[in-house]
Amino acid sequence: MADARRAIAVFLASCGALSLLAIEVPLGLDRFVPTPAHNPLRPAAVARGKELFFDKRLSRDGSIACATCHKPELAFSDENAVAIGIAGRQGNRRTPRLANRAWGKSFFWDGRAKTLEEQVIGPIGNSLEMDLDPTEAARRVGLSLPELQSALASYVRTIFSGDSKYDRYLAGDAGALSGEEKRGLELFRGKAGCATCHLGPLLTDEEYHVTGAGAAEDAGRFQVTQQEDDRGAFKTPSLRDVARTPPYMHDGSLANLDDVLRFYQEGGKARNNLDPEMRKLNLSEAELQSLKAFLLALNGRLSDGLR
Amino acid sequence: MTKRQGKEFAYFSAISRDQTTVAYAWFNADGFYELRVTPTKAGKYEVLYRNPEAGFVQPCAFSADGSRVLTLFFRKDNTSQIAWVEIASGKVEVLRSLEWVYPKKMDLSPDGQWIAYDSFAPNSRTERAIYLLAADGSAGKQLTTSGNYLFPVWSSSGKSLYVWGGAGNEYGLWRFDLDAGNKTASKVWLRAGTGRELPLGMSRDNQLHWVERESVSEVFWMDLEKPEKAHRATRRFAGLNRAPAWSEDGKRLAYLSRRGPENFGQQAHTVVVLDIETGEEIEVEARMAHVEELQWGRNAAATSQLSALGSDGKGRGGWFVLDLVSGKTRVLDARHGEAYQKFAGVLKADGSLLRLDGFAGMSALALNDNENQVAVSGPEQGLVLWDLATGDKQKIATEDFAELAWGRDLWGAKGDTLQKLWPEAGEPRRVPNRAKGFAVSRDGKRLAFTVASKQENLWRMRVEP
Repeated sequence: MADARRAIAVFLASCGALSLLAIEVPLGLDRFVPTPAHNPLRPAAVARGKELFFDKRLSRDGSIACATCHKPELAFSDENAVAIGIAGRQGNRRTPRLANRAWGKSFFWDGRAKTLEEQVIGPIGNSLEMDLDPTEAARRVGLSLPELQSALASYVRTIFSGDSKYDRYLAGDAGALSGEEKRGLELFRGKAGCATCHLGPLLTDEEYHVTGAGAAEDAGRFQVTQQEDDRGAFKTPSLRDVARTPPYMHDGSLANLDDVLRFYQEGGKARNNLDPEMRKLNLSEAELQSLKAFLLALNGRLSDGLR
Repeated sequence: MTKRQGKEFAYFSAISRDQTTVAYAWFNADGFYELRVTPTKAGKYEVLYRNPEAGFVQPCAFSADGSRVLTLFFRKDNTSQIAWVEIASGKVEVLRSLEWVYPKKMDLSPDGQWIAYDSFAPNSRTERAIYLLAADGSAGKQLTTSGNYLFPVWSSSGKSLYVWGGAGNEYGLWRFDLDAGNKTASKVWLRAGTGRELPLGMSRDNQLHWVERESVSEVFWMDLEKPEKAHRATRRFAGLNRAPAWSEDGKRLAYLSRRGPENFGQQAHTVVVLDIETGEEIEVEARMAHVEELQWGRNAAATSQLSALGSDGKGRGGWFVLDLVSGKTRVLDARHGEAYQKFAGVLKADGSLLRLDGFAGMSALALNDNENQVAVSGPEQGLVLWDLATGDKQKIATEDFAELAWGRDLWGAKGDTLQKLWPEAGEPRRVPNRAKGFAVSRDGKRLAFTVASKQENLWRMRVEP
């Protein structure tokens, strides 16, 4: 554990070599975009990373690319409940949205990757997804494995979502949210308690919680930490663009936002280690609608790559 | 330059490099802070930034060209942010968000290129590290990678950064020599510290100014039948203890104890539970941003749970239940964006809260054991007993008491006296000067309190020729 902590500390200490790329960051996000010292944002790497993101040679049979599941038009996610790999192979977790991951602290639903460089080759090597040895994938596109990682991670760092109605409201435009959306925001922070986990510019605490969603067989964060408290815990997803990306939860088991609101209204699903923040909300139908209206106001302006 | 106007007042300030303008935070009539600038000749002020969503602002420095103010925001959603506010337009550029923890000190290098600040070290909720952030947000670095360092201040040359902190017992003032944000030499030890220094800034002739706090706070307890003998709750961590609370059976005393350097604000607290009969102590680190007061739960789980008034790392103020085994907390009665002070009151056996704000104009409140009667005290009303079932009120004293405590009997504290008030009035007893935070055990046998003194000294030291 101490070694892991030291490794993280060393990584963070090396973060932020001077960017060689002028980035336009939308309203609501930090101007400072963390990058590791060994992989500062360089225009060439970002451009190469974007090409690779759409390159189907990175899958064993050449049938899918990163963008097959992380569709730009669907906030870099897709419409499926769980990831669909080559030959229709089915994973057990939902394809996560990729916007604003430059500020992420860990990656995948269970947080098993500590850096974007580590994360980007995960789906390539996953037998249920692209099913190709990452070194072989790099060779196919004429790169070394570190070069492949650097390029893909650089591109993913430039995928942003901001400038939503909520961002404009936070920035001082009191009229950016309608009356109903403002009531929803009050509930979001108050009675419904959503802001306990969905907070800050990313609208996530980047932590792991047991809400009871999904099948009990998926041990979630436990697979990484082996801590019993983490059994069934999954990382809080960002709520930016949430209305654009049904279905919901880590396994896509809830079809739409109404289902999600009902799930939390009932206090989640019973588990031995259910997060203590989960409780029945006793929201009225009108309150649920206001909350939903606020969630719709989180749709932002998506951008990626060089501008 | 400013005058307090009713509830409105000025708070933090920063002066421009040409000494013509001051930026300051103003607590406005709507109950939040706005950013103002005014000429140093005290002309008309201008509101630069006013937004209830970022209701706490702290100006830290002017940019080198005087066109922007480096400001710390604390947003309603519990996010602190390092930002520039443009003086001409009020336009904001957020450079970095820092979750709920705010820097204790943020300082701009003399060349205007680097912002130094402290924030939590990676994976820690107690230790801080020093960070550098390029003033245009293009780069960031972590300067210290182990130990606990805070309060960075630049030298007037901009070649050195002075910080307080250290690792283990090596606490004190350090110098980091830097060039373009990079260390040019190993850090240099300059002076031992007590962990209670609050840097104010560097003068142009390189004299570092700071305040050193020497205030002490101790918890005492006594048998009410033997008032001549007060016991100090602990000999450990002298001067850092406060806020005692008795367990339901009166055999255990919980109190708050500070560990590590003083952070002057958000402060990790250790909860200590002392077994009065055996002298055994257990310690629990409360996973909260701030703890102000403890009350022992009265339900079935009371032996392992304490209730704490304060704020958590999720931006909620109010009451939390603290598990004495795990240190984990859960919300008892708290809300996002609310000050914990609004939840002051007494916890009932069913875990609900009897709040002081339900008794307008009152200054102290206590609940009797049966929970059928409440005593309230206020400057206009004196001391009143209130029957909660019938609503009947009975005035039992014309004077106001700063504190009330109800064990078997009702006690009131005022000045340096403590007095039994109900059911029979007793003679006022002298208590130590500056005693406060009185707690009487349920069986009425024991009293606990805090004695605190305040002492702060101003220091300066020339750190460079």
